[in-house]
Amino acid sequence: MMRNDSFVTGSLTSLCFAVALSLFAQPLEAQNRDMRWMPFIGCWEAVGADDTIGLLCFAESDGGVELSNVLNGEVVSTEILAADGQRRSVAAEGCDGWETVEFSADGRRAFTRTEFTCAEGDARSGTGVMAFTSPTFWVDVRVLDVGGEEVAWVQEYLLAGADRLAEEEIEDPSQGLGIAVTSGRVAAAAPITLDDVEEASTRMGARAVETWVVALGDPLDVSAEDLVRLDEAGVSGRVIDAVVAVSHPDRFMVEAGTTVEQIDGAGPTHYRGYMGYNPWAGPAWGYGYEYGAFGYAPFYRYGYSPLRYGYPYGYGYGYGYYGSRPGVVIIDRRPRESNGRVYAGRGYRQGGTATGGAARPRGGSIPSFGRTGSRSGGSIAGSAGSGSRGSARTGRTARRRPPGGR
Amino acid sequence: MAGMVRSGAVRASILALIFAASAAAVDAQGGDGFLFREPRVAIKFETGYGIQRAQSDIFDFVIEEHTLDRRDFDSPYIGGEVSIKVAPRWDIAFAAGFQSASTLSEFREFVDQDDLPIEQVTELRLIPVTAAAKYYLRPRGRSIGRFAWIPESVVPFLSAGIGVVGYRFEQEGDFVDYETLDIFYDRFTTQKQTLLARGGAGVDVSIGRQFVLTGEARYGYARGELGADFSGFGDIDLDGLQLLAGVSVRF
Repeated sequence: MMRNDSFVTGSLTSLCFAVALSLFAQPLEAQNRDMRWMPFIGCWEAVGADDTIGLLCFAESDGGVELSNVLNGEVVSTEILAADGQRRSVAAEGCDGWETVEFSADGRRAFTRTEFTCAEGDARSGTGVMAFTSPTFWVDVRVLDVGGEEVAWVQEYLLAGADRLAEEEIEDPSQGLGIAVTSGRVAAAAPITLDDVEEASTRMGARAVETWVVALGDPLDVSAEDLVRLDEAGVSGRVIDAVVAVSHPDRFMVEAGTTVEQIDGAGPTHYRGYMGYNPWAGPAWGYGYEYGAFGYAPFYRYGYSPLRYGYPYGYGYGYGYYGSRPGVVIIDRRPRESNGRVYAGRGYRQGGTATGGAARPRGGSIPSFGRTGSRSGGSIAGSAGSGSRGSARTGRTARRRPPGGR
Repeated sequence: MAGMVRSGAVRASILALIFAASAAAVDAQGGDGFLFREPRVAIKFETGYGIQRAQSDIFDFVIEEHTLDRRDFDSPYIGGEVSIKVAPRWDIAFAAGFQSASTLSEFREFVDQDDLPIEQVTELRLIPVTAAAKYYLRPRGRSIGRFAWIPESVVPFLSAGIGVVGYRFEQEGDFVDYETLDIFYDRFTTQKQTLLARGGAGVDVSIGRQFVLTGEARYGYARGELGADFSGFGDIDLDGLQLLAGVSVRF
């Protein structure tokens, strides 16, 4: 029976790959349809974001996708995205610049590159990636060079279900596309390889690649020869550190992101690709081992943005991405004697392989990327990883005490 | 004799157990072909053969009187070494070993009344304990990022050190009184310690990420006094060349 199940599952996966590969292999069809966008077609909820934020919807468009922000059934903003590598002018928060989008060679993820010049004349350049972590999740990783320091921002998106679409009174953009979308998502969410890491390192800054590797958390089964190959290919040491760490979760603690509690009081600024929380929190959160993110608003040099204090702001160029988190990657050796830990301001974490221990689609290495949102809790399948060391899991799950219960 | 064999076996077993425990302790300290950090310590189990120079007058005497050859003082060696990295190419190595040659002989010139040989056992036992500096002629590996250290496959080294060697020279059995030609049973023993200087050269060959196969030639220089049982002899020549093979685990 089990064998049959495995056979069926394997066959389905293979079928999805075959279909998806055939789609990715021909990015432009007769109708000028870029099939590489297929996995994104649909509406997505920003994980951990406020309920009032709405949905981010991708719909087919000539040569790319039409990106819409839908709130209470109304399209707040739209924009066409084309993965043609051409510079498109963008403007946000008093800054002007350009953005390019290009897919990876296998068409499974989209790399972004941006450069802005703000009023005070400072240039802000950045790179990023939009990549699937599971067929129903994708993550948007952006890294911006702010005053010589690379600041990572991460947002995870969850596929909006039929109920949510009905709530917003919108039609599913993927309706009628059937297996092209489904198989595309399965293929796009396949575990990454070292070749992918190598390619990403040529498309993005080291910090972005590092954050992406940690966000996916795919064990890479890396060998010494692989490491030498990466090193000689010019892959950054910090990326290699991330590769080693996610591949050996029993030996390394990998933490990424931060929590809503830590940035309490800061409202999100949001505009596609350059989202972040208001910055006054500064280094009170998000610092880590060796390096860390600080509370910059990406377009401002210092950790303070007077125009964006405490309320949602944005739509800088058309529509918003919401609920983003500054991404912090902390990698350190896992203490041999220690099981769980108590984190100041964050409470207890059990030991074992995955920091944070929350179930996630794959890898289990990014407990904090948007995992605190109320909508994300129950719908994520998968495990937090397996490790021989660490706290013993009881299999029981705590729930909140009812109001007035004690 | 059987007791000495048992004693040697016990020592070897203890060393092997320590080595096995060390190997178990470092399991999972690395990935496929690499360690998570550059190793700082190596524990080695080594064995080989010690070839003694045996050129002092006590050896001349026993070889002349008994059916012994200089090569009868050669013997297998077992030992262990703990190396601590002190610089990228430098280690301080603390080593201890054991070698014992025990040979049954008879008088060349004398026989017993019924023409039976007059037999005795001659033993030379050495226990060197040394501290040495080891210099690696090539880098031992390369670090990639903060969490990966990949060993070089072959790394030659030189070593030089000093220490102490405990030695025992003993003859036990039947002997002939040269004045009376009486045959008597006795045991003549010297057991002392003396300073030892050693130098060597070898090569480390990595086997996977944490084990190293080592081949080494090590020459020791030492002279020791003989005790009262051996009157009028000069210092005993304890020089010897050791040809060793070892397996070490690094962590």
